[in-house]
Amino acid sequence: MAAQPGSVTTRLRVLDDGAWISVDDHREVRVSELWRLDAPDFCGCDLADLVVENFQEVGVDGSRVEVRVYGQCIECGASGITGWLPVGRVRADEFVELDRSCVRRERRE
Amino acid sequence: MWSEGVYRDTMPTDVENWKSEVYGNEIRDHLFRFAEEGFDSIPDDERDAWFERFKWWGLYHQRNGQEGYFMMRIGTPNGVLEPGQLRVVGEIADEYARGPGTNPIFGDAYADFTTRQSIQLHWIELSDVPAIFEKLEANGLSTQQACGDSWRNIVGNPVAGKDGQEVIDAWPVIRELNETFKGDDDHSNLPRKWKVSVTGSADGSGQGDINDLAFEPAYKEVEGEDVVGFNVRVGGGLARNEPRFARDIDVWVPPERVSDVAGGLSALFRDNGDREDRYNARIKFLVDEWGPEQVRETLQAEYVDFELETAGRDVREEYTYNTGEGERNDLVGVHDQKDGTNFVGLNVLVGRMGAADVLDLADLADEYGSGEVRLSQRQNVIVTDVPDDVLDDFLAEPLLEHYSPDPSPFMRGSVACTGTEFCSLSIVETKNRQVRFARWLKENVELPEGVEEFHIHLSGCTASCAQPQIADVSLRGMKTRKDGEPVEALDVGLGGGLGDDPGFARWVTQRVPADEIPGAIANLIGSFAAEREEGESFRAFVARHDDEELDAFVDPEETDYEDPMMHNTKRTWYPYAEDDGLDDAPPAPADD
Repeated sequence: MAAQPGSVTTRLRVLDDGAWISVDDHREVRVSELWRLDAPDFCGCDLADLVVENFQEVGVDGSRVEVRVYGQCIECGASGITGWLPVGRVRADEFVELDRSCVRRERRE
Repeated sequence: MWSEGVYRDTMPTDVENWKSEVYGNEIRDHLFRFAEEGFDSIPDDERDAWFERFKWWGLYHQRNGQEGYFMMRIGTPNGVLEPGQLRVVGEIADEYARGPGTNPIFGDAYADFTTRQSIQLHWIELSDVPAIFEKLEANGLSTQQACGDSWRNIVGNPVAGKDGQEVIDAWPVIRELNETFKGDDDHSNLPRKWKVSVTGSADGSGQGDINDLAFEPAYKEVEGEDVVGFNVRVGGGLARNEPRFARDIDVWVPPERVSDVAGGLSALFRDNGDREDRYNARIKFLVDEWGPEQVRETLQAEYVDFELETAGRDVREEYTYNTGEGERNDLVGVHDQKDGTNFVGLNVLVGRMGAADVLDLADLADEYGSGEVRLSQRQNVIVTDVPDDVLDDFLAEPLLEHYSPDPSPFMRGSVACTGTEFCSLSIVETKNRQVRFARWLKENVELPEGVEEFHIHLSGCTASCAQPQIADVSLRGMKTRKDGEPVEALDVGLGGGLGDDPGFARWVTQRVPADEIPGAIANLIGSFAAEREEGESFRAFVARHDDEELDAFVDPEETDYEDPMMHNTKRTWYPYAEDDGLDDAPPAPADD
């Protein structure tokens, strides 16, 4: 669980052996989707086309909910664990998932 | 309000926190309380914790969109259903395993026979659990520890005690382990699941190599006499792209010591398994880290109070089950029992049987056998104790036209997991798809002369519940794009199998759109027929080709096979519903 200081606590969990991201006890983000990634450290494709197979970790950066994912690029076949990728934001106590067709960029450390 | 700081946590340890609060036998009282007070009485912010705990009592909450419905797993040790028990399962399925979704192939109430010789029912409502438990337990059945982080259903050769080929009767050993470790608080909260196989037959049908702990038949000279007992292997498993065969720890045990050694190893796992990271928790990773020698040394030093014997002479060279070589790759068909009667293995395509058929089969088992039925790890059923003088009449029963003792190789070889119909983990639809594949292959493809069996296993994800890595053709759920659109796809692996020299399938072709799989298998078998050496098995054929050559043999192709589930079935509440969108999901069932 990632607890936040301040007036609001948001519960974030990886559930079902990595199949779901739960935000405040609701399953919000699922595996099995295809995500476009701008992630040069993951593979050599200009844009990786990632099958999301398993969530490894969930965290938050400001209001942005992020995950690290095990997956495979269907363009080049590279597989592995990504860096931190955004999946949505919490606004006014509501989780809003990113448009699944968007291009996601790994957060720079 | 959110701070600008960065916060991280590795979430799987939530499960350990939940387990530390309530786990094991004590869950039952809470379960019954929620059943009495209604599903809605489970606080929203406690549901994930309780759903995790309910697994220990065999209940999995079904996937998103199926709120308030559970899969119930009944653990049947060694797949043994004593006389009358199959009827109980059929009656429960008929009365309780019905929900708002109807399967277009299997209808409305069915039982799934699993690759671990258990039974799964779907659409179970929480309010019905006490009544179901009462009926199960009154008839010697249980869901206890069927799931969760503890001793799972113990598997083995399902015809233990009856098999004409067995070296030692493992059934009394399995019963002792089941009675000892089911409900034992000292072994109820392990770092992860604990899968045990005990086999006494020389055919390898207990599939010990893919279990956390395996006891396999072996001879040992003790005080000048050859004694039959078990060699011990530890750390097998197929899940998460990290398959392992169990490692030989150089230990032989007589039957009367199996419980001591099994308990010692379970405790060793309990105390040393990784509770910080569930992805690294199975004992296979501990064996990787320690090596089998350290496992043995630690077992000897800390967990048993007698001198362990070194490994005995095994019979692995005789193994045939799931080897892809020779005969008796499964237990389908008519086989001799050592008492002069017969056991008859019946093919259950993808392991699913309608409740009415379950009840009919129970009737036939009563009429022609002893009433007993057993379950194999290939998702099939076995009617035991059928005398010669009624065998022909039994084989002529209409029910056996559907559940055949002599099925098409493609029907016989099909194994499939639950898939997106009910499972959170799966990436693709599986059971119905495998039925469609098998029917198409039966109508359109011929195996080369002399090839009687061909195993195709379809698993929806890397959890590997269909044991895909040990099949001739291994299929695993994936995604790809076709004409720019995301579609359900499968990775294709070839040439896996067990036996004396087990091997995992090699994943030679990736991300084949699901509708091109039948064509791919047809082309593969065509190449096998054209290029095989005389009498060569498919597994041997695969072994003598490199991955590039095999990839070329697979050659995906569209055919007249049509797949109605190419879209993302995970985005539905139930893939076969007319209005299948998650927004159309029914509410949780009303409390009675």
